Amino acid sequence: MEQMSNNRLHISLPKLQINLMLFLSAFLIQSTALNAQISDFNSWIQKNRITTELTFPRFQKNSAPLSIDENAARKKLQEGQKEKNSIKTMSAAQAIGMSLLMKNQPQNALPYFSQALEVVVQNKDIKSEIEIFAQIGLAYRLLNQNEKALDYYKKAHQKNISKTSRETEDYLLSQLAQVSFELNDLKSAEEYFSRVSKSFAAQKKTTLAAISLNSLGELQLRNNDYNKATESFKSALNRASASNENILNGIIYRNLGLVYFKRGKFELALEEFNKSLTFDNQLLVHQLTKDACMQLFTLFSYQNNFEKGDAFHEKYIGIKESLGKRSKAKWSDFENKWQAREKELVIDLLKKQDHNSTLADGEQQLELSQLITKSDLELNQKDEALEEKTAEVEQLTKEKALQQRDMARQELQLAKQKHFKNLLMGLSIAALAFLAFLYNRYLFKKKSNLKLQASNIELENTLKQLRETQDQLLQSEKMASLGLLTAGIAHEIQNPLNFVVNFSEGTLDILSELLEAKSEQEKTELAKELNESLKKIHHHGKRAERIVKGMLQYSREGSGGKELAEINQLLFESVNLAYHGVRATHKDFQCVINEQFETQLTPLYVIPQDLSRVFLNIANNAFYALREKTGTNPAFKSELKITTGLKGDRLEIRIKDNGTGIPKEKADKIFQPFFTTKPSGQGTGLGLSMSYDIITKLHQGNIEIHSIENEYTEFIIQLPITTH
Amino acid sequence: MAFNILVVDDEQDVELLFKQRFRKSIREGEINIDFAFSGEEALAFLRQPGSTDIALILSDINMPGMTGFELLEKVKSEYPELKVMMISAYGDEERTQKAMRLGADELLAKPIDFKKLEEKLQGYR
Repeated sequence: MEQMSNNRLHISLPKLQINLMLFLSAFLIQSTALNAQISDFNSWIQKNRITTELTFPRFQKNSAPLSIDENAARKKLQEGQKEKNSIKTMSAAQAIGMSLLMKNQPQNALPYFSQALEVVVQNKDIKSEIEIFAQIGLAYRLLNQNEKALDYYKKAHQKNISKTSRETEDYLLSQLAQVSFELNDLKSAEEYFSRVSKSFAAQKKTTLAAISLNSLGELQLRNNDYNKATESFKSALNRASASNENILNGIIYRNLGLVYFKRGKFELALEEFNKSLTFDNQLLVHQLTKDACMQLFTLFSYQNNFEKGDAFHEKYIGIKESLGKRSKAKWSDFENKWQAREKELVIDLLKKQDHNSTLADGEQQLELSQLITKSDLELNQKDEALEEKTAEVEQLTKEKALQQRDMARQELQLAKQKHFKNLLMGLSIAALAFLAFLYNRYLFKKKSNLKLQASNIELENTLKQLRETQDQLLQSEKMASLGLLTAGIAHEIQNPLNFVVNFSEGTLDILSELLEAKSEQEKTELAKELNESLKKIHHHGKRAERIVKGMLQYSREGSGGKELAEINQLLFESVNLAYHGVRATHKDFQCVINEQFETQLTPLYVIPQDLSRVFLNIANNAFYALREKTGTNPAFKSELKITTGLKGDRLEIRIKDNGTGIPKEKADKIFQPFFTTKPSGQGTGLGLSMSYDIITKLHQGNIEIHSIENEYTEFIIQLPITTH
Repeated sequence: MAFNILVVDDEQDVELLFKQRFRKSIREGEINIDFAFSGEEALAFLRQPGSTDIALILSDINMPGMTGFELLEKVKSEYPELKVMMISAYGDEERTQKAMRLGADELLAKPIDFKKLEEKLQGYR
């Protein structure tokens, strides 16, 4: 009899390990700390690693499997059946079942458990019955049949639980919690987690209590039950902080941060993330910190609090750069998978389940950025391009920047969500960074079982997707500034048109005179006039053509290929186009444009549309600064100086205005995306960052800004002289 | 006696254009046209002795330096009897109002309708 009970003990050992492992799934994947946690529960869970492998085949680790001598068990089963020793038969069948479970053959294990079950039912051995129910439940979990697993766990739990050990009851509760959670029965899961955490707490099993409280909090967070979630995480912390479980503490602080993050309180979230990092330097938490910085940058920038916004932008860039370096380090396969799983969990926690629930300020913003999917993004961008254009047209007629800013603010309060969309679009490169992260995480989820090759292909797709979205964004930026120019161009065309129309009419007069002319001298003179007149028609016709061409060139989709172009002419036309644009809306604005062009310049091999956009952007900014200065001093004479000259093997282009200038701290940021000094709604903050990319990336040149406040601003562009 | 007109425009080609379109009237001594290529030049021209016989100024609005409006204002304060017609590519209400407020006698849109202009000139003679 004693022999038999020893056998029983041997069987229940791995079983409980497995069950516990399932419960601890969120944490026990990490290698080192878990051993300590386990020993806290019971010494018989020390060799947990095999069970990790068994229950989560994704998390393969190098570990010596705890083996049950299956052959011996099979021999024992035959003996038991021969001897008609029901207890021997039962324990042997149970052992074989467990062995098969550990080999991840749950389907094969089930018949052995049934066989064992028959015996215990006959013997009315309730304690064993409970265990076997739980083992069958586990088999179904491994088969991904959670409904059936739940049935068996419930059956086990409904038996007279006092007949079994406290550990068994705890693991049943935790299993029930976990399975209910996975089946999305959050209410039951919450109830079970709550019970099991109380039980652990009562037994002073602090680490396990912390783990279950954390699971409870995660569930409540997923349910948007912020107050309860905060409470759960805080009591989890209370217990965890007594232990040396760095990973656990790190995760709980991270989760506390997630509560704030989900509520849109990004500054508070940052604090918690930072605490989390002091315990466990997790890449995921760095990414979350980065996201929080981006959110804060967006929010503050939108509130025109550039100082704070910029500070967060700097942080964001800093983290991004350090992450870039970090991700180059080689992760172990296990670490990668662990990261992926935690990411998946975080995404799940941040998902909003209920769209109709009333949300505090800021929360909806998060919802937006969280829920944007690929197609939403595309749709959004199309909408936004349209909205942006409409907004520009409005501006053209209103010309009242302050009023509009106030309006924008008012509307912001009234319809924050709607406006965040605008913001999101205006700032969607920022969102893109975030979305890239989200999309990446989505990919992670999808491909966790695929090989590296597949992941490369998906990465390329993401990149392609991002590029496409970026192209769309560029296009809408272009369309927005085009709106400004169109009015000016339409009017400016009237000038050459005036000559074309009237010289051609005059030509008809001369012609009829010529037909009636008598003397040769008269005829020669009239023919001369005719010639002159036709030349003028041609000249002004060409002039109109250039204006229209310039506009078309500017609006053309995508960036064209490189071709040989006259830089002087490109510069002159772009600056003129910008000037026409400004004069269309600001009728009294006058500016003297001085050109000083290099005459020895051969055509350069460049992308003309892109280059002309750079010139246009700079000129637009210059005219803006000049108008600002005129506004405060009517006697001020605006002047724009455009110069080209050879500097060694490079062409130097200078565009200098004597406008308001820009303070040094702002000049340093001028090429950053979304940086704008214009009142909200007047600039996207993308123009110069795009210009920067065009010059440095597409043309291998460089671009600098020099400015003294209230004196001048000068852009200096250097392009390599390439003619092929 | 010839009707003396001063045309003010920053585009040099207006000289040829006006001379061509008014060739008959000029040849027959009915009108005489002088040209100035900026507001400043126009004022200098008016201020020089012997130019008091100018009866009408035709001026563009958008010009570098002194704008047509500034010129109009100065002309009307110095020579209130002088007729001034403004020409603009921007035929919008705001500009029309401003021209009228500053005392312009007429506002013409570009491209200039020379037949109409000729009729108007007849009215001023």
